[in-house]
Amino acid sequence: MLFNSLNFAIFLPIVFLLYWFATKENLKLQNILLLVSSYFFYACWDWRFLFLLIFSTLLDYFTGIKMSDAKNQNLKKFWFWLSISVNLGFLGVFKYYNFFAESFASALDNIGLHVNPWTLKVILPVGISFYTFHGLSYVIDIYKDRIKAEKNFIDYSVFVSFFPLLVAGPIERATHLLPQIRKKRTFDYSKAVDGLRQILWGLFKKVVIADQCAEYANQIFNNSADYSGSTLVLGAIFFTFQIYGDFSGYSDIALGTARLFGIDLLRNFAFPYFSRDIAEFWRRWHISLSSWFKDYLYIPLGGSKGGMWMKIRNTFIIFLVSGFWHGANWTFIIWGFLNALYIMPSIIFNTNRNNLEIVAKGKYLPNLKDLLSIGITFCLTVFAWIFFRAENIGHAISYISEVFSSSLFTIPEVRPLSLTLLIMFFVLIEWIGREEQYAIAQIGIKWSRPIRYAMYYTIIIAIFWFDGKEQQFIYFQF
Amino acid sequence: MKSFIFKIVSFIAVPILIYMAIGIVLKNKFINNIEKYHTIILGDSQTEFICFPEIYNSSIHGSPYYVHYEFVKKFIEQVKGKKIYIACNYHNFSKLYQNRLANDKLYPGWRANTFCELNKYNLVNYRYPEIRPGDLGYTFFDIKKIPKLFKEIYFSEANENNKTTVINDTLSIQSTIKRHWYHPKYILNDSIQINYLDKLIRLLNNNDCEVILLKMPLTNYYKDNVPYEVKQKLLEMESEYNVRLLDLDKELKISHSYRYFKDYGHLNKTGYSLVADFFEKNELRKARTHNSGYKK
Repeated sequence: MLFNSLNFAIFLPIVFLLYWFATKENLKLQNILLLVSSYFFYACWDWRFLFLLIFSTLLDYFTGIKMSDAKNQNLKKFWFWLSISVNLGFLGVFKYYNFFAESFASALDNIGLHVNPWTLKVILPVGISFYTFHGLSYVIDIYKDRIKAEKNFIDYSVFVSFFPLLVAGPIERATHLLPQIRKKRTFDYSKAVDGLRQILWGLFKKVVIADQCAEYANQIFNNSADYSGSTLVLGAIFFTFQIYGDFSGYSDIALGTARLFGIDLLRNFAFPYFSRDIAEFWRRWHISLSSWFKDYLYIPLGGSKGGMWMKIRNTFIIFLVSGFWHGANWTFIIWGFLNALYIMPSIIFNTNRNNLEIVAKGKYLPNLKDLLSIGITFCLTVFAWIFFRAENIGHAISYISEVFSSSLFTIPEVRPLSLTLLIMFFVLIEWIGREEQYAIAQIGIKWSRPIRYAMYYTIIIAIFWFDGKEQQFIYFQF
Repeated sequence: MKSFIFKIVSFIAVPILIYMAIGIVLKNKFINNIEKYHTIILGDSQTEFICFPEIYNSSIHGSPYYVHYEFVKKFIEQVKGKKIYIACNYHNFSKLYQNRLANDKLYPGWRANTFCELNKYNLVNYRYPEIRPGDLGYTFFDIKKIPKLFKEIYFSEANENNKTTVINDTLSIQSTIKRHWYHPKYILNDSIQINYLDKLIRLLNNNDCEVILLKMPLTNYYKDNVPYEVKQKLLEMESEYNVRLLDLDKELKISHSYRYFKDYGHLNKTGYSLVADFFEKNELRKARTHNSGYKK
């Protein structure tokens, strides 16, 4: 069930009404309803993989309790490693087995040994990377004595399976979400209205920006050999906006939906394309994943405490793992590696925490230095996205070779004027609202109701106007 | 909470009601318009330029007969007893046309376009499960259709054939022949065109319509390469359905004169003027004498 589908438009109001009316705000009933709806939501995609989700939930729930109750450290360690290995085992089998098998066969092929690897003929269970990371953070936090195990199975299951975040995050933490699930929730009018506004903006990003950009990005990337360098640059820029509109749009819908149920999820995006360096970009892009890797990989590896070399090594490790997390393809690994390279200067010169505040805070326009820094960071990001989008390394290299050819200075064959204007309008709105949680959080709040409603109706009309067909979210595949 | 629900419902209901009201008004206006016409063309890209005040021309590229059938079914009261021309050319029976609903890659965008046409007069999009393979490309409703319908009713312009291009070699005809009859990607898993043409003619016959199969002129090079059984099929249809076959190819005898064509079978401006003259002299004159109320 996609967020931008008719099914979801029917599903959400039904769950909402049942949640606030049928349960009479009884916490237990609310959580049961959320769990049943989440499982239904997931089963709409493929009910068979629901068993995998339930198994993963049961595993972490029981190992969490066992770790909490363990009389000695060895027993605790045993349950911890059992959970980690089973979780990573599932992820490895479903997501990476075919990649390793084929890469191994290809390596053997290179030395003259031909093998026909046995590969899995199953599709990747949607959201497996996300709910596995939920579970992992939970068991790691218990192991490190940061939290106590959740004894209520329903509450824990809602933490893992809450439908707005189930298939593409944000990757939640037990410390943030579980207390909200345990706490009595009453209807908050302003929160619900804010949630709806965020859903609206998320749909705009997805349907109007991402899906329109996707049309051109797909056309250009799929036929890259036929286009000039200048068109390929446009293709990469369109993909840059596509992936942002797609994923941050999804996150906005997820956050807004959760707010309708009185739950605040972790923020996932904070206007990353206005970043002045790559370190800032990674504090603003897919925040829940970046912070997950920081807390559960970078810091346990020693973080920045072991001197410069350890800092550099750990940075490369988390970016490579982050790339690999996105998918079993060398293109993602190169994408991660490139980002690690980009961030190196700020790691080496210790300038990675220079830009903590949003650019030009309290001002209308950035200064020239900031503008230049934003431009450079954006170009570096666009370049890295080429690897992310390409079918394989060869495709990425030929794409880039064509970009840096003399045809770069020709007039692009593809010139979608309306899309360019749409992107400019979108960037403007994002710029105006960059100090808020999402771009339109405060825009028009103080306007009179008819004007404010006119703005919302304009956004709704734009969504329906550009709604060609229900497009899959990119991050559903991860 | 109740105030929240009330506001949301009103916020959603107001535009929906406006949309429905405009849609209903436009549909009624369209019904009134169509009732005035004596003749209707259910055509394709070859017939789209036939333009007379007494003819309602519903020509859609690729002549998707299922769209024409659904159109007639929807407006059967308005269509009843009228003179209906159905574009019926060799290429409509080609493998390309029998396959491209199921295999969108054969003609990218055609399927989506025909689905829009199917729902052109529906306020909420219907799925048409018999026609659509699965739910591909389905949207609940299309906000764009209201302005389109508005434009069609109030600002419709004659679709003039301004193309003066002349086909000057047979190479492009050869490639069309390959595309229509010998494409390697044919999967032949549906015969949707032929099935719906059959349903369409039967529906019209049952509703006292005068059905005329309209065959447009073709270049002789293309015609010579059409499989024999397809030519036969078209001839047999005349007796099978007890309808008239208006073969403009035979009537105008221009298939050797490539100056009238812009490609294998689409007429250019000069070629079309011959068709217009033919219609004027042979097809419309009688109708005008019988129905003096019509104005040119």
